Amino acid sequence: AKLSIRHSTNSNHHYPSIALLDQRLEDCWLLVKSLLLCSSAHCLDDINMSYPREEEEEEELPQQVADLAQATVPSALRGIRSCKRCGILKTLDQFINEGCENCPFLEMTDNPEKCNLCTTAFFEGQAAIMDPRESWTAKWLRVDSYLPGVYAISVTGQFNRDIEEELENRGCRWRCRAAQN
Amino acid sequence: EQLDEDAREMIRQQDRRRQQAGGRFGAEDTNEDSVADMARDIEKRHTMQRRTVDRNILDRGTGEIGTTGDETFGGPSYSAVSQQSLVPSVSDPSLWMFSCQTGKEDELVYQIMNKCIAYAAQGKPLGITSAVAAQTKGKIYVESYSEPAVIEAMQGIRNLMQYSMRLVPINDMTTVMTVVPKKKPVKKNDWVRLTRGHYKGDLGLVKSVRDSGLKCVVQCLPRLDLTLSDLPAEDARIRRRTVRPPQKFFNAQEIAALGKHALRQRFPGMGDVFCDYFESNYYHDGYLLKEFTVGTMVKPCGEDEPPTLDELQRFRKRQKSASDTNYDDDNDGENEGSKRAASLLDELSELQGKTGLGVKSEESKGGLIIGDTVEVIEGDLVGLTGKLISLDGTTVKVKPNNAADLGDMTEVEFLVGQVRKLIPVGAHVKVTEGRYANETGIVVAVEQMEGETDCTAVVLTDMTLKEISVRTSQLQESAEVASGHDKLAGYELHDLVVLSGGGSANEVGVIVRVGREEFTVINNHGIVREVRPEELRGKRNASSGRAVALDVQGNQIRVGDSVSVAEGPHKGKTANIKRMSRAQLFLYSQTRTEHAGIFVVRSRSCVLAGSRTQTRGNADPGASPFSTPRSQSGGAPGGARGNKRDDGLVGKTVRIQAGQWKGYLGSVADATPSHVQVELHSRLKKVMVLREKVVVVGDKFGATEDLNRSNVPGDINMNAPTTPFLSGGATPMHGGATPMHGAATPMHEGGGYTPSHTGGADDVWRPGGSIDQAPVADLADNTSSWGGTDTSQQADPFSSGTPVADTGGWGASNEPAASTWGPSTINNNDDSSIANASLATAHVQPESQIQGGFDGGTSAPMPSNEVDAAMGDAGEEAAVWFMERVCVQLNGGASSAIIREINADKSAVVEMEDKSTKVVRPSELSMIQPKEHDMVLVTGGADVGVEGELVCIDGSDAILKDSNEDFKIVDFVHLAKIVSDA
Repeated sequence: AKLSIRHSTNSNHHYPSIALLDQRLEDCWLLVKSLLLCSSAHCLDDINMSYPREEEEEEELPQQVADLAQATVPSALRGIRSCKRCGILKTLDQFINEGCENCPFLEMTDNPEKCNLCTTAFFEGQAAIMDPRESWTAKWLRVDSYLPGVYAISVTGQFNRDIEEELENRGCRWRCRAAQN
Repeated sequence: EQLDEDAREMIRQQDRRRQQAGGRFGAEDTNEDSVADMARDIEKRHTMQRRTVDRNILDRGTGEIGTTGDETFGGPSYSAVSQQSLVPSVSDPSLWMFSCQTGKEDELVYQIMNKCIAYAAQGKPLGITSAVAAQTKGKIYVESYSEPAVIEAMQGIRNLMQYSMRLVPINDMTTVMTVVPKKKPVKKNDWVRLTRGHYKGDLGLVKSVRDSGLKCVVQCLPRLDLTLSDLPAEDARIRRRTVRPPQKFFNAQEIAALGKHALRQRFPGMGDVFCDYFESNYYHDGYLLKEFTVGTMVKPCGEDEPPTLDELQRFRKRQKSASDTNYDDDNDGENEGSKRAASLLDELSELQGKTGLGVKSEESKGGLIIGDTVEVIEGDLVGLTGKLISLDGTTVKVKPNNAADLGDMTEVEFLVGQVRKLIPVGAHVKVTEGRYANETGIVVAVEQMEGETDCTAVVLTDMTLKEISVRTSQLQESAEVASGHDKLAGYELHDLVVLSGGGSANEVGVIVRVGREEFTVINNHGIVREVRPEELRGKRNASSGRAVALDVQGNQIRVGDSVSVAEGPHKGKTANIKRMSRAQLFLYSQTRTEHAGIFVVRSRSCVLAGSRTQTRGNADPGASPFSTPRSQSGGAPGGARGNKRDDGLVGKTVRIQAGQWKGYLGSVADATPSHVQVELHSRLKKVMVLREKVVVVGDKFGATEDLNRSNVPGDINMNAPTTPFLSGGATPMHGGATPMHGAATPMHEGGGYTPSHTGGADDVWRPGGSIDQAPVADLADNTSSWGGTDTSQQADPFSSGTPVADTGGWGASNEPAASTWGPSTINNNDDSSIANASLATAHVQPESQIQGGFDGGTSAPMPSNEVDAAMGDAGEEAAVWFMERVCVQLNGGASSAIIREINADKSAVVEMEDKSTKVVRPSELSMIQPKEHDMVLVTGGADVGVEGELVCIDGSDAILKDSNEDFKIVDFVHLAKIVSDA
């Protein structure tokens, strides 16, 4: 079963994540099992055949693609802020409206004050990460565990003392660095 | 567990999304629940796995952080080692580089991201893993496993040059990702530089930070162009573009004077800061207050571009007034302002310190030098003091001062940052760097500014006794006493300089201190002030060196002389004259420390000190205040040379009697046997004239000498010019009465000139004399007394009458001279073929005074009364026409005569109509008015010296025809009738 899946997916480069199934055999196996469970009748064939059909694909979309589809991009070119913890870039309004998807515990949603505290305009470079799990860029920036989105390459700033403490208690790390003169 | 909570939270969130998204197609799948469950299951497991991995990394990370000793737990620094493990490998996706339009990089990244999201939402992921816009201009990078995916994904993206796709070598991938933080947040009271627009390059001070650091209100110097609003729109536009108005403080009155009005308004969002609102800008206390965007519009002043002193100075001009008003809500800025020391410069140095300029480099070592006393400021041993015994990179070893208390620890190691240089109050220090580098002084106070590790010491400088505040890290204990700089902008200590400004046009001063960028100058009124090199208008050392002044006793004093002050505040001091300017002396005393030993005294308040006074006083007992230094200085060496040659003439006032300078008075500056150098009184000139062409009219101060005194034999030289030839002649007659005249000719003292009348000379002389004498005796009726005398008799009066002539010096060179003259005399006698031919001989060569000596003998037959008369008249001024060949009338009768010869004593030998000759004085003669067709000589005017035939007389003018047949018109009064040469 593994082999056939690999074979079938290799023919279609639309699914890079599936093309890498061999690296996460366990996932594959689970997926296959689930597929077998839900539609035992047309298990393998279905995977091959149902590819072009969108509706069917959506529900079977790999995690990364789904995450990517949900990703947010800064809605404007000006007034872009970076989350001090994860470095994701959004406009201030976006932060206020949605918060930071990687750092929900910062509770920025609908809290402009907190947004100001936890985001900064002092960042350099943008990296749009479509696939944090696979991307070397994401790995390099240490955002590989976060959701797809546009991240800053370097973030300048410091958390408040109490926020810093809270993060420490949580065992979280943050990406912002104090400015060096 | 917290992590699990996190994870669960994430999951929940994602579930929420999934549910939202899933709504569209959820109905289709019959086994939706189970599928969803299963999916959730997978997801959960997956996430858990990732999380655990993350945590491992995290744990490892914190462990590393702990070892590096970072102060905060979970500190934000990823160690280099863990980052190293992230370098790309072959299993990672590749990176492709695309060129794009510069400045659009960010936009492109968002665009690509949006495209990917859109495709992903459609279930058709584009297959690229990331897109990066780093700090390389005009380049973006796209990461993917497959090249075709990239090509396809980049299709149709505007501003991107798809064809420029290039694979980034795996080694360069990390380079791509390195960025240097360019935008730096600014803090309140930071110095910033404006980077764009009207104020580009200007210095500003951050007054407040807004928008969480994105915006800041900057205080800077306005660049207002008040003429803009008066110009037509088009011109204003051009002017705005081309002319950058200078920095100038805003002045509401000035605006009002132009008929414009500034409104009083609050600066938005700054509390009660009332500003002048003018042309949509806010001005507070002369400064412009303006909100700028941090990063793009404003950059903090880094070390590479610190605010210059000049800028700060300009900026600081009005800071004190700014601090009066309620400017900032908190007192931070106020304190800072009030802390600024009284002196502006101190302020600046402090501010420079405050902005942290150059601190960085110091920080690394803190200005520590082995042997310094240091104080521990951090750690368990805080407060410990000790001596620095070694220093390497990051750690220092300190020998504690109170080692006994520490269990006899001989050395303790600290980090550099944990110790600080300890400068005790009272220490004598030297400033090692900064504005006051190389100043030395005594520490009078040490204080620590808030929020700074370094202390500021107040140092009382040795040189200027000014208090300066310096960071302790810039200090070093030292016994050295700075002597200051010795040179700045070409000026040195003790230079006499011309000062500009200050009202008086010719203020001069002497530099008493050379500072780092200014001088301290004591001016001619004794006022000390600081001047900048630009204010100096050059040195006057040279003229000072030439100048001569007079002390209270009338002694001449000049630079280098030692004087003692006789009156005034400096009375009693003795000092050297360092410089002088007019009557002001800049005295230098080594024993004074104040103003480098210089003080100012009027020359008349001083007395020349030392032995020089005496010697000079003896030399010139009557040193006159009017005499020029030149004549004085000339006098001394002249006197010194005196024994070489008797030059009593030197220093005397003489009148020049012939030549170009005839009639000029002057003093004799130098003399040679034949010439004297006369320094003219009325012209700034020295002329060389023949010795005999000058007559002494006074002593060296111009006082007329008693004529009688000058006739004293001792003063024979005085009369050098007078009647040399008569002297000889008179001698036989009057015996000793006139010997001095003979000797008076200066030439006679130089041996070579005088074919002497001594024994040797007589041998030569006698024959000539006898030849001459015979006709003379025959011709002159009135020489009867001579008639009987023979030559031997004639010789007798010579030898006896001229005792001077017998002096040894005379004999030396008489032989050749005599042989020279002998024949010529004879020849002349033959030519003239008149009785007194020898007289004529003497007269045609008036310069050869020697002959006077000779002919003295021959002229002796002349009537004694005439000789006397001639002599008495010697000083009389002759008329212009009193020249040879001029036809004259003897006043006594109507008899006309021709002047044949003019003697040195102004008497003239005239030839009467009957060819007899007479010696007459000019006063006895009058000129014969020339008539038409007479030969005339022009005696004055432009054509002086011309001879010609008088053609006609026209009123006061006369027309004459000269030898070249040219006609000349001259004033009739300038004509003198002469006899034609023929």
